[in-house]
Amino acid sequence: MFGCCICAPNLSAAKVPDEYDVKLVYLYNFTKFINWPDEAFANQDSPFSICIFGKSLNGNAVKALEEKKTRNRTIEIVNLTATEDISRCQILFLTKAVNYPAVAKIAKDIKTSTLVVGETAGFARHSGEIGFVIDERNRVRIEVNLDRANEKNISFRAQLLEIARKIYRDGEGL
Amino acid sequence: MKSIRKLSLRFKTIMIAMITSALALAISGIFFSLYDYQLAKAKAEQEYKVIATILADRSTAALEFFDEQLATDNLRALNARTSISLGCLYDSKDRLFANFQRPSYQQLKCPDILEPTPLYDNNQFLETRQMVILDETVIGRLLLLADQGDLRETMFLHIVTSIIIICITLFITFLLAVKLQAFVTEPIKKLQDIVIKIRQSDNYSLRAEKTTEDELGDLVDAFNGMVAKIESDNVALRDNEERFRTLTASSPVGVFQTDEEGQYTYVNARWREITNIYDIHLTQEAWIKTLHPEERFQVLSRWRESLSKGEEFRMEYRLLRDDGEDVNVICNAKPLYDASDKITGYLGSLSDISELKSVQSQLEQLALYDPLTKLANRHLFRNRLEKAIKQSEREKNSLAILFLDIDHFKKINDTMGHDQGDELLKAIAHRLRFCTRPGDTVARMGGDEFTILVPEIHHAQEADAIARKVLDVLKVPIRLTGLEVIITTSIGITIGLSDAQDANSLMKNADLAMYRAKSQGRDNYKFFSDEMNMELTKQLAVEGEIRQGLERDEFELYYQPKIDLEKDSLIGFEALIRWNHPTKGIISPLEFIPVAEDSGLILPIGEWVLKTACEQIKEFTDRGILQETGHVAVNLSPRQFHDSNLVTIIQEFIARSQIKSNQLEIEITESLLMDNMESTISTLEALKKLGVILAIDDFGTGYSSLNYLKRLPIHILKVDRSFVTDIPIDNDDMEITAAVIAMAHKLGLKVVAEGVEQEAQAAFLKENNCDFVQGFYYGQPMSVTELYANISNNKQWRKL
Repeated sequence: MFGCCICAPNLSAAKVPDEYDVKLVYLYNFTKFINWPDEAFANQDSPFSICIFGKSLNGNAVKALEEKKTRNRTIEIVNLTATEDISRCQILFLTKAVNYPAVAKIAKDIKTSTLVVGETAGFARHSGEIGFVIDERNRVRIEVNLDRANEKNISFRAQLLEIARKIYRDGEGL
Repeated sequence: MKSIRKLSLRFKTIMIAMITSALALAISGIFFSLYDYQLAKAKAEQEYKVIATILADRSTAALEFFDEQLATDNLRALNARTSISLGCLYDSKDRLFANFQRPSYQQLKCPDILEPTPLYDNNQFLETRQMVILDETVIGRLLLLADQGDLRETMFLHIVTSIIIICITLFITFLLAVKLQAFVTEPIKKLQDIVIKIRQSDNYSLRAEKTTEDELGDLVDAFNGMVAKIESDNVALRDNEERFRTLTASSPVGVFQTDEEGQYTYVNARWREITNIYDIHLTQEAWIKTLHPEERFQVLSRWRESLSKGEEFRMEYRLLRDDGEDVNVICNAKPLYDASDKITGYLGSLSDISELKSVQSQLEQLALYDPLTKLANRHLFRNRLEKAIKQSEREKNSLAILFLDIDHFKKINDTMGHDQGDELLKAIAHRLRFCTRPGDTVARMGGDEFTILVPEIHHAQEADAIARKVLDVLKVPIRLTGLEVIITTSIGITIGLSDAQDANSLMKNADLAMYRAKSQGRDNYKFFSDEMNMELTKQLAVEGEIRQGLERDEFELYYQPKIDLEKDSLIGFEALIRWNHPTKGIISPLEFIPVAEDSGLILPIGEWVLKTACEQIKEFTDRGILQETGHVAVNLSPRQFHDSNLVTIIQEFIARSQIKSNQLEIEITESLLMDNMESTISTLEALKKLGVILAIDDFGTGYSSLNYLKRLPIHILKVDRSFVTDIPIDNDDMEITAAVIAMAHKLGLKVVAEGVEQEAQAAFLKENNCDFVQGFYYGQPMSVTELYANISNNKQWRKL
């Protein structure tokens, strides 16, 4: 509690965090707490692709991320316009701009080990593996669907599960 | 340290045990406490590290997803570990992200920014820092602060436990030490008791009991051995002491012992006898009182010096005893030392040497004084003379020596007898003492020779006065028992150090001067003069020449025929010595015989004469010149006659030359007989035994008493030429000659007349039945060569 009070002004003092900037950091951090199967990548050197659909994210935050490396891989941020290229993505972020049926369809069509992240309500429960929610204090939180991730051979590290507001498993979210 | 030394052995033993245990326990306690503490600390650190690592790992998601709530919840887990008082989680920029604070540590607070320096730089808190790493990137830091109070508490508990254990152990140690030290101290205490007992009772037969077989047992054995040795030594010592007492009690020497200060601790009976001190408690003062007052100071200072220096004391001194007797003692004391060479006293002897002293002074008297006259003897005179010479040298003054010889003393002695002669000498000595000063020395040199040493004169006239006084005093008739004697003296005087500088020369000078006085008619005195000295020098030169002559064989025997008047035939010869001096020609014996007699050269000369005569007797016999019944006469000087080897020498010469002993005739002068009748007779007897013919030469000139003549073992009397010379002019001489011949025949002696130069003399002698004659009338003394030449023409001694 005490720490939060110190944290929040600090963050805001530096720069008022844009919601998507935070979510972008979240996306980046997922790479560290989530394990993909080796087939998810074309080869050893292929970059970690974080694909964004429904909204084009640019700017400093994206550039900063693209300079980083995660798990020995470079990061590329891909702003998708069509669903064809989904297979190359390790993470697919479906923004609010994508309507629910589209989301459901895209999510259902995905056969590769692509982690689907959304921000619509009940996303984790109904559509993808991770859903962003905003808590009562207006902070970004996540919900996790373990069952779906298991189907995709994607595993979460316990630490990630700790911060999740809600975890769906054993058919809860189906 | 001194106080520790004073402590009892018992206390020390206990103390050593206690200190040792305490030290061991303390060291081990401290070591284990520290070790425990370090171990616990390391363990705690390890634990914190694990906790921190787990927490850090758990906090990664919270940090990455900015979930303070989660981080805080994670940190809250620290609550379970009570020692952790503070937990702070920082993000990658070291900003405080979440914290945990134990309510009991309100004063602690996580800093907003994490500094690399430790939070609390003291020992109370243990700080653990752990990086939060995700994907090889440091995403934050975790800081844990643990209170070490627990650890300290544990350590403190450890120490307290240790102290309690130490105390308990020490108490047990004390109890054990008290009990066990008895094993060590008890035997020692027993030994000590025995030592004290022995010392108090002086009973060295006591022995210590041996209770153990360890080193203490050995000590007891050694102690007992030592006591046994002391006991046996004591017995030996007592025996020694006993022996010493017994010895000293019967000792003819005074024995005493003093302490180191000179106080008497023991004296024997003889010591008391000598000192006449019979006080039971003997003090040094009593002894001091006995010392002769004249020597007391000297003796005491010497004694005290010896005491202070620790030296031997040896001194001769006199005692004046309280009974008034003067005692001469000799004291000899030596220091006694103890084992550490410290002087404990003196042990000495005291001998009464009074008798020795008196004997010594008598001996001195004998050695230095003439027993008859009590005058100084030759020895003492000599000493005094040498002293006087030294004094004169120092003081540059003169001294005089008077050499006296009583005129004709021998005759007086012979006529009056020796006892009277001795009385006379005593009287003379008395008079001489009377007319000299106390500082002068009157000495009897032997026989009738006296000397007077006047050690300090300034003019020769003083000596002159003394000499005249002596002459006058001695001329006064001396009354002996029954008769009065008048004597005269001849005195030789020499003045030192002008005449001579040494004692020998001075004596010789005085002697020489005396002879000169004698030769100048006696009853006078003569000063020594250079002229005398020159005569002496001349005499010395003659002596040298005689020696040389002997070596070069310059002497020769001449022979004067001797005729048997009855048979009118040659009966023998008289051998007479001649000296064929290489430069001075033939020298008469009258010239050199006196010198030879004085110098002692007469002995080798006489020997040569005897030897040559014997050899030539053999030659004469072989040539038929000398019958076996004939004899060759050889004159012996008095000195030669008194030579102790004479008889041996003659015997040897006779044997060596193979002559008959009766062919050798020995002539001695009548005066020789008077010197010492007894020894003369014994020598004559010995010669007679050899078979040698003995004759008295110059008969009628001396004072031979007929009584003595009768006792002499002689064969021939030789009438002095002085009687013969005056025949036929002097009727008296003719009467004497006739009487002598008649008397000699009556005594069974043959008579030889010498110096026969005329026919009338020969006729008179023949008429008076004189047996043998010799003289120019019959033949001069001639050399052997001449003799051989004349022997065919023997008409010369057949004139009658």
